[in-house]
Amino acid sequence: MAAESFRWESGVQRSWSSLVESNGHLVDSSGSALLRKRRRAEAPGAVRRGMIRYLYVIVDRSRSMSERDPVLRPTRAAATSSLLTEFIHAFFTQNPISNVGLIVTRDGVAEKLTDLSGSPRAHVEALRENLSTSGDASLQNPLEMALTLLQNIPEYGNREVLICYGSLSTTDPGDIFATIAKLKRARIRVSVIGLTAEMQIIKTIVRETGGSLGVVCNVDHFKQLLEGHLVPPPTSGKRASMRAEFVQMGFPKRLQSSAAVLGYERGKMHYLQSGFECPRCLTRASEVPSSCAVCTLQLVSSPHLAQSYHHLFPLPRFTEVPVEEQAGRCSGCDTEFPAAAAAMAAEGGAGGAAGAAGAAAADEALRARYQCPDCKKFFCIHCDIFAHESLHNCPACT
Amino acid sequence: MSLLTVVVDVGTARWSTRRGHDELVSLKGTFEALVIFFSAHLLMHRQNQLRVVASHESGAVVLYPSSGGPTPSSMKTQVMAQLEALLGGGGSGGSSGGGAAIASALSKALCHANRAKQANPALSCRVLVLQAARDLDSEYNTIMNCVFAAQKLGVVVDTCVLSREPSTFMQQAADQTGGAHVHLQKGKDAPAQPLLQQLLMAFLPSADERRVLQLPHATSIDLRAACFCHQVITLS
Repeated sequence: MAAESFRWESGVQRSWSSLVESNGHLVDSSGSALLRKRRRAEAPGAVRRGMIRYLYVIVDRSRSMSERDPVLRPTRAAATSSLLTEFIHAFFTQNPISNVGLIVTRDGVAEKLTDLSGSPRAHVEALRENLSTSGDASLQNPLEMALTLLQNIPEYGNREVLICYGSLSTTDPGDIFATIAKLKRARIRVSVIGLTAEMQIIKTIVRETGGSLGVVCNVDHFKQLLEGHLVPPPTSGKRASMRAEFVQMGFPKRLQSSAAVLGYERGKMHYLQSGFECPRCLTRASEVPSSCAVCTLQLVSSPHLAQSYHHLFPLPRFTEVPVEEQAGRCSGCDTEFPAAAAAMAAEGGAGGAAGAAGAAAADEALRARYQCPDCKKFFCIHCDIFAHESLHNCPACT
Repeated sequence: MSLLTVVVDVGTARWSTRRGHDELVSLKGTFEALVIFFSAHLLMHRQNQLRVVASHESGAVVLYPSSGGPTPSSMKTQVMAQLEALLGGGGSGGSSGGGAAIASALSKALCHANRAKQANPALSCRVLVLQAARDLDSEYNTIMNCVFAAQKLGVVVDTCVLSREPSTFMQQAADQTGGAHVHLQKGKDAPAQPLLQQLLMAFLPSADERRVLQLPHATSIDLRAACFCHQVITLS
């Protein structure tokens, strides 16, 4: 496949032949999807990361976002909204003690949609309601707004901005390079996901502030770029030399009572049946993580903290070991490994001359065993992906 | 139609610490009650599946279904035979040094549930964990990782604590995944509830059936964290 560079030069690839019906669903049996998933769940090694992130997402709502795009259906704005909704849910799952805010840019100005908060509800609703597009996009205005809003964040927080930009131009009132210098001084990390093309000014912003840039090729790539922002970025530069600070947090107890008790819900007083009691002032809050409405103590529950641990202690990558005769059973799900001979026989029926070589390699990897470097037990590819993506620990290590 | 995986804590060291206390059930009594519970689960629906994983010092071992055809009539003999083999032969060759591998057993149960769900997306899975002794602080991280993975997968984790001390890990696990938590203990005036009664009442109904039943729920959940270096619960 390496010699042929164009699709019409290679043979016909019958991608539909790998789909198999199982239990009323169509399942991709070629395994290439699984392999791609495995490659994505890579462990980068233990590095210092800031767990408490304050992220502003700047969404472009200019004229160019309502154009029909061959890649992002039906319009760029709708596709971006749905993917950002998924991203926000996943973000709070992976970073439960962080905060997200939304800013939109249309008609050359920036508008704050939602404040920084730790609950996904407000952001998702705002994204759903705000689909109108008009005018030009601006880069300087939302960045200045994010700068003002992020200035009061304490030192231990990671200040980040993520821009989803779909225009090919920007309308700015002043010198954007001065804004870039201010962002750099405030240690704000700006990353951009371009929906149309790469622009020099975007490259400059990203390079100066230490962020990352990606331009989407298709919906899957867009999802992949967003997934790249779920993991907290490694601490670098001046922040790395800061000594660690202690942050005061409260761990409330959850109490349920038959009689409703007065408490705070999103800043307003309500009667609550079940609430979280602040350990310092005993006021009830309706949800956690949040900050106490009376004494402003950060309220967190220990499961939330535990959800961030896996970023600090990532599971090392399992080494691939080719399949053998009498291979035994997977130490995770206890299914038998298929023996090498059976694997060869199955490939004989695969169609397409060009497809066979690729399919054979994929099947080989599917049937291979994966070994944990610590306990030396073997796992199948499904358990390997599950352990790295969801479980974050080896099932057999005690 | 559901898959029930039962994780039982059978570490010999853990059960032997209970002797001398005012113990409610012995290991033998627990398994007698469990086998009846297993049969009840298999009878609830003809496509129900069962899996039993024992957590022991030497690691997590699958008791049922072991290699050989699983049929309900021989389920009891399979389980008891595998249990005897595990307790008789193993000894203390484990690497965890006196602790049981509840986290490892729970991880394996979830790996299998993940595989089963991929093969049949309509299958509803639950896991029941029976803990015999107090929490092992070193396992907090791993158990919480398993709980979040279960939450993501849509697997309900029920927990039952057989020791006298309450277990915060088990409370949090049941709370996060929407399962039931039961702590078998003597009330102030009432005698201890028998294990089989609790199993059949609280853990036998499936997730759909639980919506219309009145089940025990925790009134207060301890969400305090443990100090990272010394693993001591922070006092607020």
